[in-house]
Amino acid sequence: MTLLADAFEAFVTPHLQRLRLLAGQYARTREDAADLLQETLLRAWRNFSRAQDAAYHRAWLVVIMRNIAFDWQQEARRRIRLTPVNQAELTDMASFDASDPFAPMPAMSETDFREFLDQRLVQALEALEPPYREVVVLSVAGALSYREVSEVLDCPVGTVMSRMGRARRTLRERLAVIARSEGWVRERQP
Amino acid sequence: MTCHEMREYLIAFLDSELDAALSIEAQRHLERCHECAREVEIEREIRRGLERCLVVGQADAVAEESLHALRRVTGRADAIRPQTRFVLRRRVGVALAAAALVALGLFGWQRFNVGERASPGGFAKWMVEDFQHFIDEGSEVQFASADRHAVSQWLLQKTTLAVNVPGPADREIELRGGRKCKRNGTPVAFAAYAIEGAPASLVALPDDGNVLNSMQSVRLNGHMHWVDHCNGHTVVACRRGELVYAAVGQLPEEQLLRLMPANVDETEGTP
Repeated sequence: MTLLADAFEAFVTPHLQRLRLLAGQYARTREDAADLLQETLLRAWRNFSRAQDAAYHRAWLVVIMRNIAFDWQQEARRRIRLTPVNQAELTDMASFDASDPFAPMPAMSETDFREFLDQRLVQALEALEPPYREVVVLSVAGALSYREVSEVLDCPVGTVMSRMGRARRTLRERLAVIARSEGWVRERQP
Repeated sequence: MTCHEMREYLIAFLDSELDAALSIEAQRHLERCHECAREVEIEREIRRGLERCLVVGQADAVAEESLHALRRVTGRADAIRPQTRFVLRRRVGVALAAAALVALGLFGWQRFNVGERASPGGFAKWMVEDFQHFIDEGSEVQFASADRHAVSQWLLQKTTLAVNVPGPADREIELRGGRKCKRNGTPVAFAAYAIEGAPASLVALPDDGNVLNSMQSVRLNGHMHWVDHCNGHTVVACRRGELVYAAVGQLPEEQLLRLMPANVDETEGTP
């Protein structure tokens, strides 16, 4: 038992911080995030005990967390903030040309741009539709590769790549709109 | 690689997801195309911004607490399951609620009697939490329609409330549909809107005489309304016949006023 516990802790510990960050994105409150992490670890530990010869990887932990979040959302037991999306809804909602130009951002100094992002990026991210926000969160907060994201979402890598491209374009469009509406525009130097 | 292809691969390039050959091609293209290089710089800065808000800004996301959670499941720390923590939290909550009731008993009467309001009030808080929940869930409506009569009819069938769902006053307001729920066992009708693209809800519920007690009464556009704010949201309410109508959204009062149904019988008088 001690050896198994050692192995489990050795496997999980490097991913713990990222798992907690993801839990904070899936759950609405800090308490629910702590519970989501705990429930994830508990379920992983039970399965780890039963199949100790299996090859484990961090995407497996994220799949468990996502399934729990999905269950909670269905049962309305907790308020889930980042909606996990059903497989049926994972097909791209509209065709999009990956070579479309990015929305032009108003020209502003590097310092202004960073300040603007720090103030408005969360707002723009929150406004993304759930399938798009989730790939961004899994990639950035979870530090998962596209292949790992595809394992978590159970879809092809190409779908992740396409959804990521669209997510980032939409994010950029929203940022551009916000920047203009709030007067962040600076005249571009000739 | 052309600019067309570069845009296609730009995000994957920044996320280091291109294979070596494509990545080298992209790098070569960027060395000679300032326009694409500028796009890459903007996107790179946005990616850094995402890291700051999703990772760096959450650095207090409790390494010690997470480690403790791990050790609990492997039996190397005091095992407190989430359910147990819920029970504990509930007990603390009950104790706090009891204390609050005592405090309200001692001070509440005097407080309300001098015309102050509890802010944010229970009704506004409920409105905002419910609104945020359904926005986050992406399930604003159960009956999607831009036809106010169809939405009113659906709400009548589902809630038995004769709700007068206002039609969009202008092109900047879009009616998206209706939703029903219950508050304290009483049916509540919702109409979901977008005002200049920003989501907003109009709620109608029976006026039991207490719903608006926690809100500030004000005269807006010459008519009596009730206003409260909670978590960056505004709630504006009015009485129409036997119903209370309340609009909620991350919008200023004057915008939400546009959702108020026509004032056919100005019966509010003094709140």
